[in-house]
Amino acid sequence: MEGPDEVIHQSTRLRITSILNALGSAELMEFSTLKALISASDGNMATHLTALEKAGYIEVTKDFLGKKPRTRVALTADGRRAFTRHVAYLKALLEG
Amino acid sequence: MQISRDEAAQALSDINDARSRVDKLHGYGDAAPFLILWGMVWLVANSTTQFAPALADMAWLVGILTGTTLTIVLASVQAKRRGARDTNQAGQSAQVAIRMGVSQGVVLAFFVAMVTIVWPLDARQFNALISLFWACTYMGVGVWIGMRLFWIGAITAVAILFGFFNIEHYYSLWMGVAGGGSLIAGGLWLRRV
Repeated sequence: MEGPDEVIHQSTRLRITSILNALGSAELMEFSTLKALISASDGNMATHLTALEKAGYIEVTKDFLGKKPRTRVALTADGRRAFTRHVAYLKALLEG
Repeated sequence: MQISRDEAAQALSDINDARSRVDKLHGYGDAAPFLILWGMVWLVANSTTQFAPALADMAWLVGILTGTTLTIVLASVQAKRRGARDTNQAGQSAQVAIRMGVSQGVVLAFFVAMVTIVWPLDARQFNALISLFWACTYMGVGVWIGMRLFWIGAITAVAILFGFFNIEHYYSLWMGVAGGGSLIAGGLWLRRV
């Protein structure tokens, strides 16, 4: 059995990746929506998103909607695989 | 890194919770434009009935045709988006859509049969009955999608009943502003996270 994913397992990062994993593969989520769903502060979110981005698990896209700046986040293919592996590990731990 | 069984159970529960939050977000996002659309139809058609009774039939005909056409367009755009979202469940989604369509048909058939049985109804009764029917539908759907939709239906139903029993001369205006307004406000509320 593979071990847990240390990047993903941290509570806030687990919630972030769970939400992003529930989206379609081409779907991005706005930072403000994600923050509201997680109920985290801007600083806390930025710290955890940076950790996930460094691991190559998420992709952050910054653009403009009209004149308004917009930040959107999506799980990468690597991130989706890591999340699936981590969930499999958790389930195996419970069943084993 | 060691994880206990309790921690694993808690993590899986958090994952399920996150999934249901996203499902609710999608459900609200999908429902919102329909509420705003039909709220506007109620607002315009009821206001026309109040202030230009001669144009009332035309206003309702145009409103219902426009609302129905846009509902079909919106529903097919959303179905496509949903298919792209859950590519692995596309077949299942189609089946669910057919079942939902048939269920709606059954409910509508019941409504038509009921109105036929209790006919004749005056315009005021008919308006209250059909509006209540939709408000209760939103409440029923809300039980499955999320409680915000339930409360929007409940507030709309209370507004309709209050108007029916208490407002005489400005009944249509009340139905437009309170009934249609609560749907529009509810639709905007659903769009907020």
